[in-house]
Amino acid sequence: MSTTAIVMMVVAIVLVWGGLVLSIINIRRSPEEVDELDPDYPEQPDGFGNPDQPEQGERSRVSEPTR
Amino acid sequence: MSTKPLRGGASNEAFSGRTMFIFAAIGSAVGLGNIWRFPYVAYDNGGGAFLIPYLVALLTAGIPLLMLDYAVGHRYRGSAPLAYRRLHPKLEAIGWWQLGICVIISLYYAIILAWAMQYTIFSFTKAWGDDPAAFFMSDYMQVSEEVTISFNFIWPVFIATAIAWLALLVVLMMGVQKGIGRINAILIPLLVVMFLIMVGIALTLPGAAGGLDALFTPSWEALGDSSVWVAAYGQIFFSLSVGFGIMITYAAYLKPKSDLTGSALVVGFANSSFEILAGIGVFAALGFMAAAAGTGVGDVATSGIGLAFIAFPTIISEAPFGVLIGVLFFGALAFAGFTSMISIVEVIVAGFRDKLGLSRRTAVAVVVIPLAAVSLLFFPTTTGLNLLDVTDAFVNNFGIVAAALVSVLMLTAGFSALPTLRDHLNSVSSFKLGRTWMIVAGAVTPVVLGYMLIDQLTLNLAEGYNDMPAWFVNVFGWGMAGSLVVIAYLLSKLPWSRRTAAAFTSPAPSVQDAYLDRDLLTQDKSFTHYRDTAMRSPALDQDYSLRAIQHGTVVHQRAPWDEGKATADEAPASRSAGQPTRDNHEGGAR
Repeated sequence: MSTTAIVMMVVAIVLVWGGLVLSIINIRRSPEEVDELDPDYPEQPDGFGNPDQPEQGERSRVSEPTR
Repeated sequence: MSTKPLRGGASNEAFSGRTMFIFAAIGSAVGLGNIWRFPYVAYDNGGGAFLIPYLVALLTAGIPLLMLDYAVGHRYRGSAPLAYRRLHPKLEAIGWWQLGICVIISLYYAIILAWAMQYTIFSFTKAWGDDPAAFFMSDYMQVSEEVTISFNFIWPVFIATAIAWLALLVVLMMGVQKGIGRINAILIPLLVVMFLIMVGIALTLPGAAGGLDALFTPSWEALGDSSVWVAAYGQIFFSLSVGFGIMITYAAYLKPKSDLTGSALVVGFANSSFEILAGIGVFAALGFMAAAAGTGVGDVATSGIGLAFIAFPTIISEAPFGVLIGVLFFGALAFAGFTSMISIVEVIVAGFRDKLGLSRRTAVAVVVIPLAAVSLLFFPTTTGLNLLDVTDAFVNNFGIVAAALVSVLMLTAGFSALPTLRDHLNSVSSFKLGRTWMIVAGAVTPVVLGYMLIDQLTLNLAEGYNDMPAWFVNVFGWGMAGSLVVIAYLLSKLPWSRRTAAAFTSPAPSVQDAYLDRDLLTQDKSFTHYRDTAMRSPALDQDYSLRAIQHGTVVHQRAPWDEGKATADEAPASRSAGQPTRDNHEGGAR
């Protein structure tokens, strides 16, 4: 490989993968917040809910505060 | 007793957290284009010098557009048609246009998946023999001489395509978190590991350095060529899956307080990181192929189907550890394609689910079974390859680009929604956006998209497409792209289901920041920046927004004016939610 090609490859890797690392660090610095209403997320079937919603039970499980 | 906020359609479901969402969004963004398109585009447009327009495009168009899509989906919380409708009733047609684009893509995407799956198996026996090109075109796909439509099925491909659709059906049936989220959380890390091993092997092949030399040697004069810049914007744009509803749909499944811009940065850079990795792997392998054949890398470099199903089989046949390279490469291709396919079909499922008020499983069945039937009828045939070629080109150039251009113009010039969307992004995100974002998303991207559209329009009008018969291009190219617009308009005129229309009053909280929005409320200002409030969707009514604030949704601190109302779960909220249903339904149906 020529020197310029090696330099460009290193630059590309550093910039793009470095960008990925920085953006991951950035998002890790702001921890995920759990919404206050989150445990209430699964709406009970009401007038407008989905009576044929098959995942009713599953949704209640899924939306237990997970973190 | 219904004191809970009502929600319609797709927003009933959610990813368990942003990690799942990020995996799903990466799964959608990382697709075939990363593996078989980027390496050649970079090579062909300046090699190492391409990095500069590529990064500029990523930062000025890719990530800003990704954030724009997230903002629309997250604030208006619905499938593409519903989200746009909630933004403004007149915009609903854009959502259907994007959904139509997804329909077309999904029809032919399945067959590429089928090829990748079958070639993974072919790798074990090197079933293509000495001449992979002839094998693919004549033995495997039996491509007919005549460019037309026929129903001469190729049964192995038919069965493989059917299996791809069946797998998709199962994943989508399992729901957003358990199906889409989980399969992405498994397949994406697996994909990266597989590709890393593949790249590691490819780098040890004799001649690999020559391939990398060809890919990374910069030709700086390319930077003065406008077509190189268009290629960079095009690559970023097509590879990130922005502008056709996918990111809107996925963002709608995020919980209210989710770091949107932070996620967009991760997804944008992850997508490009995979492209760089793919570029290294593909060109190392092509370097070996050129060295083995005693030719230059330029003679073997190619993209798309030619790269995956003709060049790579050649490499696999000749290279040490060829079988391993084959299984890893085609397996990665299949996984990357499958995660993208999931997101494409989910756009359609969510749209129909919202419009018709269906349960998830019904919607999946109603969408996937007819799609699979049409896909199986037209594509695994002796004439399918030409049909794929023309529909792919036209849906990309005159579907995705045109729809993205129109939607960006509508969000900026048409309905000046950008300030609202920026405020929304800032109210939940770690990475704050200012005027720069509005300028790049609202001004730079329409210029680039407009240029790309006109460029392709003049080219295809002047020269026709790929020497194909005019009637074929007119029907499946121009006709298909044009009819998407007409169908989108007609669908936007159909009424919404009562269930979804009722939920127009109350999507998931569109007001994210009670403090920010309280100022608007006390000054009796509208949350949107267009004046004609009569045209506003009921979803955006202040009544609803007040309720969100009353619930204290997403804010941890108690709002000062909310002191003493500890159980804010009731009162005006439930009353206004239930009562004006009919009116809102009428409003919705308009």
